Amino acid sequence: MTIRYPSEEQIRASVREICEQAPLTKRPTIRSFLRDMSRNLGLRQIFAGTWDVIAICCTLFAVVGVVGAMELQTSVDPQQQVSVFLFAFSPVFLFLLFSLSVWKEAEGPAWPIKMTCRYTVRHLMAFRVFCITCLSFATVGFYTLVLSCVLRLQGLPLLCVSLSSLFLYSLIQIQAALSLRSNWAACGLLALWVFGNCAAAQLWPRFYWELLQAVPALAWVAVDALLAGMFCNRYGIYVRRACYAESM
Amino acid sequence: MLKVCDVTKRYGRFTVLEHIDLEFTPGVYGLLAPNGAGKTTLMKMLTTLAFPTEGEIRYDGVEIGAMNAAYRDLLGYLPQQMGYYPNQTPAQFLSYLAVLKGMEKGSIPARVEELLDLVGLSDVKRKRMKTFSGGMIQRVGIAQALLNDPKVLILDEPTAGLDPNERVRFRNIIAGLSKDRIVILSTHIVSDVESVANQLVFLKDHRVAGEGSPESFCRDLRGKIFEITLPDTELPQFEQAHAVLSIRQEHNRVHLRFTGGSLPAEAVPAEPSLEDVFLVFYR
Repeated sequence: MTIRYPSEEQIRASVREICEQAPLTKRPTIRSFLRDMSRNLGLRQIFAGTWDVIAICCTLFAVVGVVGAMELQTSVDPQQQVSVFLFAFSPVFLFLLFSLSVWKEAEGPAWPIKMTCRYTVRHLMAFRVFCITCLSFATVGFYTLVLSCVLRLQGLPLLCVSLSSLFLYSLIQIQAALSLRSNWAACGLLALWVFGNCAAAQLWPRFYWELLQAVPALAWVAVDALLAGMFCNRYGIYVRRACYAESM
Repeated sequence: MLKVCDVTKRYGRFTVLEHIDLEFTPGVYGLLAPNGAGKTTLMKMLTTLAFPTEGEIRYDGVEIGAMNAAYRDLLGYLPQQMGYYPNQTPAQFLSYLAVLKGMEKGSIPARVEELLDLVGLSDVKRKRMKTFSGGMIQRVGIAQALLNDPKVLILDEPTAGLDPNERVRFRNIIAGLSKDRIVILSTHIVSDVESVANQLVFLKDHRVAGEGSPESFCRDLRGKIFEITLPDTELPQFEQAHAVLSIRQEHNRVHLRFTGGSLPAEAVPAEPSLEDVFLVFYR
């Protein structure tokens, strides 16, 4: 039996055909995604149409933050009250930013057109989630430090509490965005967490305080590191899903 | 070549499209069907806004979902409801979408100028779009669909809300674009495709009911369309026996265009039009 081997030309043609049929693309990392998006689109275009949302959220956060601080000034045990308040209140800013951005984009008039561009709404949302999460950490961290200075409280434990609360919420948010098919369902779930937490802090402040006090400072740091790692892992999946979304 | 291979789309238990097989090569395709026949769903699948429940859509042999951004780079899309930001000028809107389409930043201003010129909006390029008429917005829509010089141009009900002059202008633009690209134009307005489409696709009962050139459809109907003038009192009886395609009142008489039924002696054969084809398909 003679085996007829393909010629060099046939081999090259077959390889070319296979490569064309199954294009191999490098999986984007968080870093490469953020770099490419900011380089190719620029912050101005990525956040186009959402500046009003950011302004509204900042104003709301400032108003509630100032009112809360004034209320807390007169409290009997400010360290306890502020801890409970920060634990419940910290995710509010990120929740508002995320939900309003989702709502604005979904209701946006050019949604179908933007979904047929190289960079779709999913790409924009993935980038925005990263930026608004960073913005929330910076804002909440700053607010916590200001609050601790104004009320003459121990800043570090308060910072641990507020950042942990925010880390926990960020993780829930990214997981909800990944697991739930509808953005509205994700926003509903997050609203339940945020406002349920606020209501519970109002109703059972003692329980919250004991819970927060029971965790030593080092444990807070460890929890934060763990949550940050988990967030990065989930965010990486979120980015890849945004780049290769097919489900509808 | 864009190929729709045995595509079925269901939303829950409701089947919108069933076993659709189509092949698109460069040229203008008119997708004709009455409202609710699944045109927009097919358009959404061709633009990756929705994905088939069964079957697949391939561009040059590669499944468009797998092509991902590479397919979107070839695509221009004008949706049924052309969304825009009222406070933006057309130049700003087009520049924004050009960035999202991944166009090289240096080439954007010239391309925007060129397209605004093509659609006749150069003189209002700095006006906010909230002051624009429906026709002007639609022209912005056409311009944005052409930004990346697409190989596949999909236009969903592009002439909805346009006045007759704007319709003619639109058809002329489309006719000039059909070279070297696939243009798919969905509509339920026959006159929109009559003069520009090389090929027609009719959808009926969630399936492709017919495809071919406008001439071939008209040819198939030759000898089956007739005209007759009757006293208007005889109209109800006539309508029961024949499929009346159009009625024109003339004093106490009616001039009818019809098909089917027994042929009255006074009836004269008429040259079939695409409108007749549509009406015969969907009567």
